Amino acid sequence: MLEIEKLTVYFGDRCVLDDVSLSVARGEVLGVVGESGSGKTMTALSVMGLLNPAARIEGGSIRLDGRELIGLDGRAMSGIRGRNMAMIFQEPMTSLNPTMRIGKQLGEAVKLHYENRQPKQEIKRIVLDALADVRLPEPERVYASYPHELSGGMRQRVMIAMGTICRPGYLLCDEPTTALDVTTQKGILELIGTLKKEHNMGIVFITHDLKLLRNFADKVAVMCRGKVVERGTVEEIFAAPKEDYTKRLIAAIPDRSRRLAKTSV
Amino acid sequence: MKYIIKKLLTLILTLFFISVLVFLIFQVIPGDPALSILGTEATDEQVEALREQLGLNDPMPKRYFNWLTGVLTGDLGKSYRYQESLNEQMAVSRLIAGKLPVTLTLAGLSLLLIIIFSIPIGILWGGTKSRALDGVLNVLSQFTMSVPSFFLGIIIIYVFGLIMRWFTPGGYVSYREDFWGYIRYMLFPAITVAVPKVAMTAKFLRNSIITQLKSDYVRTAYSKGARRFRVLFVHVLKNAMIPVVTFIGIIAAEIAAGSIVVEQVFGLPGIGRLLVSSISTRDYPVVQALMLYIVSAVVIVYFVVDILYRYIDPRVEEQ
Amino acid sequence: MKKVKSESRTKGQISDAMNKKSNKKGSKRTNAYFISGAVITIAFVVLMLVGLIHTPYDPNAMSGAEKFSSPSLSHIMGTDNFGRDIFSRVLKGISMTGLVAVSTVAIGGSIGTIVGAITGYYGGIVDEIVMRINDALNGFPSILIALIIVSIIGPGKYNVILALGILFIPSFARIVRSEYISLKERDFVKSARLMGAGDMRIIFRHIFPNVRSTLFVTITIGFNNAVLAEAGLSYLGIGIQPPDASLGNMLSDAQSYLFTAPWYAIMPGMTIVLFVLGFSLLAEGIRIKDEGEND
Repeated sequence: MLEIEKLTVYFGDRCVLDDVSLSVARGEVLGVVGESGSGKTMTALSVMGLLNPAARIEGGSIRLDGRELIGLDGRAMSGIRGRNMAMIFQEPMTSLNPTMRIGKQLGEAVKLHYENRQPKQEIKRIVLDALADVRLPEPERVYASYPHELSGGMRQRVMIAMGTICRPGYLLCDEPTTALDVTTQKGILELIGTLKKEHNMGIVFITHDLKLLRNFADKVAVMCRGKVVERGTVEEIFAAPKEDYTKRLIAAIPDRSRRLAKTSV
Repeated sequence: MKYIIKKLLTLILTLFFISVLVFLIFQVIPGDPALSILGTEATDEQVEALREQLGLNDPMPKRYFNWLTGVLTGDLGKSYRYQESLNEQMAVSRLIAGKLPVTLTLAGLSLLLIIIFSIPIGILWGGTKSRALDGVLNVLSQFTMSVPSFFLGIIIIYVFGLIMRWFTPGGYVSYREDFWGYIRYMLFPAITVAVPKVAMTAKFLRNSIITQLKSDYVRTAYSKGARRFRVLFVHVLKNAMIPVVTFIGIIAAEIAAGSIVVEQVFGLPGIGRLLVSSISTRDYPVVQALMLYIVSAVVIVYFVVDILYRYIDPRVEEQ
Repeated sequence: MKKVKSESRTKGQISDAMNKKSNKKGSKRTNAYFISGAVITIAFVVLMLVGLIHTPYDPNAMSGAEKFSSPSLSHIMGTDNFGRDIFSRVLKGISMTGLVAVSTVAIGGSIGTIVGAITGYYGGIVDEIVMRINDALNGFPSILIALIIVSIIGPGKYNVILALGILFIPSFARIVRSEYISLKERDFVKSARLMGAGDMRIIFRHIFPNVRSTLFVTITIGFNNAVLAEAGLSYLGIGIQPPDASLGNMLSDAQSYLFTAPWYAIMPGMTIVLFVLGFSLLAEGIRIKDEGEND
């Protein structure tokens, strides 16, 4: 279980997360939906321990399989990141190091988390497996490529491969499909679903697009202005939204193309 | 490869324009070269004969062509002022060849010092989380950049030469006589050239690192479980160094200028000092040759930097 | 600003005006760089004006009896090899350097601004050619270009002003041009055009006020460079020529007497350092201020 309980975060003197509680079990998909600035990304970054240094956690608890994460030191936290949980970001174009080959970037994740030094060949095999795992054609070619030589969809697959290469229990996806075109979006969504089943991962799927969650999420939390305003199963949310905010999000679905939200802070 | 050829053609074209420009500039300067060589007491016939001999009566394109041929074959005419022997003016090429090693040593040594010091300082500065250290380095760099090189040189002469006696001011020894004595003497001028450039380069690298630390790929590296040290050295540094390479190229070009002044301060018999003294004595053949060479050197440095840049940044294949 | 932003949001979007208070604290924070830079610069402007009308001693009066006297109450910066009062000569030097700096920045700034404004506003082939020349000049170390110009027109006060003035044209042109390129597409320019304003009026009356703050930083950096360049040329003996006192040629004279009279070099040298430091602190301060406001 990944559990967030009454998490409160301040940015300077303004409150950006107010009493947020969420949980996801392994093999389950939690959809977190809300507008830009509603605190979805901030929640994920708090879990990962990657908040901007200007942000302070004022209260609450984050537990990963029962282990409290708040207050862990940098060394312990970096041992967990990438190993027990991983995160995928919105912009596949900029999320990869432009001057490092894909193979090396993935291999780094392996090197960081395997206690015993693996021989080079072994690491390469793991990386190629991971690339094949995310259904990338020609893993050998991708392995030797630089990020700019791949398309947006391929880069996002690489990001997913990097996130899942150490078989983490939980994967946090922050609008992983927003920057992609519709057909590519569908492929990525399916891939995340498949990997969830194959590796029994808990998925936190952050999006501003409620429609994406319809056939995908097990449960949904709606966030607004740093608070969770509504939660329930997908069916409940779509059939009988309680909050006006949620109703408006549902009403906004056909207009999606009008505003391909760029940032979500 | 195609890119290199394209750049090479541009380089040749640029050098051609520079040569035309330098040639034309010295055509508009008032004064008759023949008269300058012979002195005011020469007769009209003597002047006319020398003009004919120097080819000054030829049409301009022909003169340019003759001059360019000379430049390419190392024949740059004769100095008005320096004499080889009593009746023989010194060839400009010989004059320059004698001074070039000093300037090249100074430039090379300074560039070495700049690279050795600015990169670690820049990394420390960009990587530190301490606001106090950032502030101290910032004030220090502001101050360093405000000290003109000739004053810095004077301070170095006073402190290390006159008080500490680590070297003898004005006691330049040729590399032919005593190589290590030469290097030891050159070290202080090189420090003078390097200090402000170290500050500039370190600050540039610091800003570059700070910009890179805000990139998305840094967050990705952290989310993989990498720690700050690794993020800084494995991920950020290479990306941050890419613009620094160009910057160091500009610095290399500026060293050429910086050494003009510093050679004067330390009394080094180099190209810069020759240029300054030739300007004051209106020894135009020397000025013209030096100008052409220095400007060409700068252009060639930029060309090399351009090629280098393409080489270290894998993304350039895109364009 | 904030108001316009929230109005322009589409209906379906829900405002995230969540505590988006402007960070007034940041921009109003007293900026040590700016203040110290301003104090030094103002002090130098005062010294420059004083130097123009009055000096404690005649800067050129020699006195055999008072050669190389170290700083004292009667000569606060000491005297030089001819027994001349260094403080008086430094004051004259500040005035001279200041005068050269003001004139060169005025020449470079005005011509550069006009060139930059017109090429930036119109664009096209002329812009392309002018900017290529600009790039070429910008690539070269400034003292080298100054040397080349001086080698053609000869040394001396007015030639130095001319040389440095020409030297500063490209940097002003480049900065002003890029401002004009981004500003000419703005709505206020379009509406001025709709109201029938002519090109010249738009260039100078409508766009120019928006360029002023950028120009101010450029001018500050220009002063910084002008002081350094003038001192450098004079030190090399091809700038301001002897009877005129200048900080650069004082230093070059002082170097011969470094051992007997170190203050002779230190006084004009430190004066140059402070002079330049004032401008660079000012520029850094403005930069930090702008950054704070853009956050």
